[in-house]
Amino acid sequence: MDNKSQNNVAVDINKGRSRAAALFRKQEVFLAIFIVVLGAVVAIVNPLFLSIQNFFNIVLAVSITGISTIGLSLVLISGEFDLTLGALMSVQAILFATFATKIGTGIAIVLVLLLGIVFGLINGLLVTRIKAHSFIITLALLSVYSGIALVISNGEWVSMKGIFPVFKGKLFEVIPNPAIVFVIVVIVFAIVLRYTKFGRILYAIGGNVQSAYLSGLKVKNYKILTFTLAAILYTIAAIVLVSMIGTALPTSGDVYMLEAFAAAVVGGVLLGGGKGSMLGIFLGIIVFGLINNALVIMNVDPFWRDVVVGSIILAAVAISGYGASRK
Amino acid sequence: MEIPDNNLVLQTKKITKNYPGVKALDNVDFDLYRGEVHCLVGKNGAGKSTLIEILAGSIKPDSGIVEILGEEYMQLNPTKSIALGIETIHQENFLAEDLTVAENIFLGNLKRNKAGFFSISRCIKEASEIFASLQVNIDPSVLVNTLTPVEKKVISIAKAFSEEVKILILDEPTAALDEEVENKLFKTVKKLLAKDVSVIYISHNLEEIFLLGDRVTVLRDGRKVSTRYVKEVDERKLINDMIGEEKNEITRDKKAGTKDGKLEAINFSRRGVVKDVSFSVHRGEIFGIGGLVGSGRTELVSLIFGVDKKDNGRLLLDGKDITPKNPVDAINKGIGFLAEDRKSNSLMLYRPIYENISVVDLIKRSGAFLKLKNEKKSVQDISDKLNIVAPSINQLVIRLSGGNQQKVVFGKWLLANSDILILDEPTVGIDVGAKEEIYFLIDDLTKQGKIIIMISSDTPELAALCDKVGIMRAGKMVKILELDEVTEENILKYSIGSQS
Repeated sequence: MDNKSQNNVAVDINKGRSRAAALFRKQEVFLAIFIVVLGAVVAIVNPLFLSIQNFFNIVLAVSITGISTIGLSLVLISGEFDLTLGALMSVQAILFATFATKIGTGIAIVLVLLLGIVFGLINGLLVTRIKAHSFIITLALLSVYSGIALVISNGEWVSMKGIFPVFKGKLFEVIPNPAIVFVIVVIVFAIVLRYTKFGRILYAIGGNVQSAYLSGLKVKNYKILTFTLAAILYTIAAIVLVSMIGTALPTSGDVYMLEAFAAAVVGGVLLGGGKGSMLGIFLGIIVFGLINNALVIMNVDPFWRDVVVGSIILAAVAISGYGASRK
Repeated sequence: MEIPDNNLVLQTKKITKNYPGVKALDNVDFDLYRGEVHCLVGKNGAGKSTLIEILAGSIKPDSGIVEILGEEYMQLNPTKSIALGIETIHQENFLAEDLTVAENIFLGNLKRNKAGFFSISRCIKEASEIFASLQVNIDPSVLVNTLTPVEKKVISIAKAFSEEVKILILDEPTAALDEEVENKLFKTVKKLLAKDVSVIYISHNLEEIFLLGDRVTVLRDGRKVSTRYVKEVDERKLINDMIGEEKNEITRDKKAGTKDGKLEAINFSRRGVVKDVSFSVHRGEIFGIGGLVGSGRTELVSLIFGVDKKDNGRLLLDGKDITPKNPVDAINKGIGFLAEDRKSNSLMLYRPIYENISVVDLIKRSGAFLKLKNEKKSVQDISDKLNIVAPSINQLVIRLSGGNQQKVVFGKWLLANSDILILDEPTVGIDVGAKEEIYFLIDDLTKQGKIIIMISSDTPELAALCDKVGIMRAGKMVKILELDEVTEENILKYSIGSQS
């Protein structure tokens, strides 16, 4: 039949791209293999790696990064950028510590979550109103939020004075509490992305914004909602962080932004939008925890850590044919 | 030939170029003499663009030889073509908008001062000289982005004067221009001819050919039909050559419309784009929109669907006002819009077939959670009905052929059960088999009493399918052809702007 030959022609034309796309779809498979291989190597060098204790150490170490990475991933899937991640976490950490010590933890949690919604709305509104790339707009906002964190803290750290130590604790003396929050967030957003209308709409907007618009989607509203959800997740990450270490710095969140971008990208989220699964994102986050943990366990000089991490991002992205599937 | 052969500057011998499923050029011989204007005409897809792109070096022919100034070439590349003195001026202007006019004129050959540094004053001075010789009244020191479209076109052509151009290819230079400016443009071209430059002139506007051309070649379906002296042809001969005597394979029983229920578009206008367009179409009918690319066809349907802001315009269905405010509103009112250029407007290429097809329907549904089973079942039904060729509906759309991709877009609006469907170039870039399936599908929709508005550059398609055809020219609907007037010849005649 003629249709078949036509189809073959199309396959030929797209061979290069579809091959990359096929690999792309297997990003999760690739990451899983990577994790198993790396784990095996480390386990041979140091059997301690395989202990329950160490497993939870890894999950604990990525909890904060993980929660914020999921927020960022929502924005990336919708085809936008959000560079405010770290700065917003810093502001929220300072605000939470300040409120918690002055007016009580309960009210503080409610207040910063509400403020998180406000910050998210501001991000979303500006991105959808100003005709500039969200990279630029959120870069400017990053600066604004960082400044706010410094202003309200007067550049100094705020101690929790021992209150609200929940996230220092462990459930049944084994499972670190931050890990529980992380896993809950993973499960919730796995369901959101896969089984809800909102999740599908995120992919539709990121997949082709013009098509989404012509298909009757209120694109701007959904983008604002996405930025807001992301800001709420950054806020949760900030609360857990402050509780865990007992103090808030005006730069507490700053380290998380690059890691979150890296984890999302390694996890298969496409810069440009429309691609990325919760499983992939989760595995991407775990890869980072694993590498950090392995370096410690294998006694690698900590100064080499960043070099190794960067090299692994490059390798992962190159092997999975990342950019190749998109011009 | 009355012109001696040593004046031959360019000749193609048996140029052939195949694309999957299409013979874009089939053994085409073409020649060009010094100082002549040789016009190239034909319907969309006749092979004009392919031919000039081969001459410009951006496409390599499968076989055949290009001979330029006595030298034979199997294939060219853009650098080579330019070095040989071939300059192509495309429909769009490729100018550096944020540089001055003078800098643009000398972009490949910027003037330097004695110290060897770039000298803007020298550029401006020499550009002024060129403009003066062309009697062009443009200040070379202003930025290009402050100029009108016409001035930009003139500059594109004037650029040719700064270089050693021997052959100038003009691809529909007047499509976006009004008459006054056309004259200016023609003057410029004539100046070039006086410098012994030869011109290949592509136009849909036959009047221009009679004004400017020495000879005219008609291409049809990749083959050369005729080359004649302009003095020896008339419009009728040209149109006949362009259409040919091919039998139409497409047939549709046009009397099938139910004639109850009517959609009326009234006074649609947008300043500078669409001027006061009105038409009506009954249930079960197809209203075709013909005209050249750039005549305002897509702009018109964008106004109707609520994509672009309109100055004026109402849409009535059975007398009830359903004018959409925006696409969301249009879809809620039962209108579907299959936009042109499916890849940029209609498809999520890196998402699976089923997500692409269900998106409109999904958005309309209430409830926060997806019903994946139902969704996949209804998409599978649509996919079977449309005969989408793919291993499964989980296949990414990027991996489908053009025809199957277009069926996915149709599927989207079928699943959404749109009552009124606007189709913008529904069969562009798809193979013959898929085309026929889409014709069948459109016919089937009219039998269900749907209303179809269809833009197409494919004249036989419009003539065969549509109950009425409105012809757009320069933003106006200049003519509405009724049932028995809908012929290829009429569509072409009114599109190319001669009422004779």
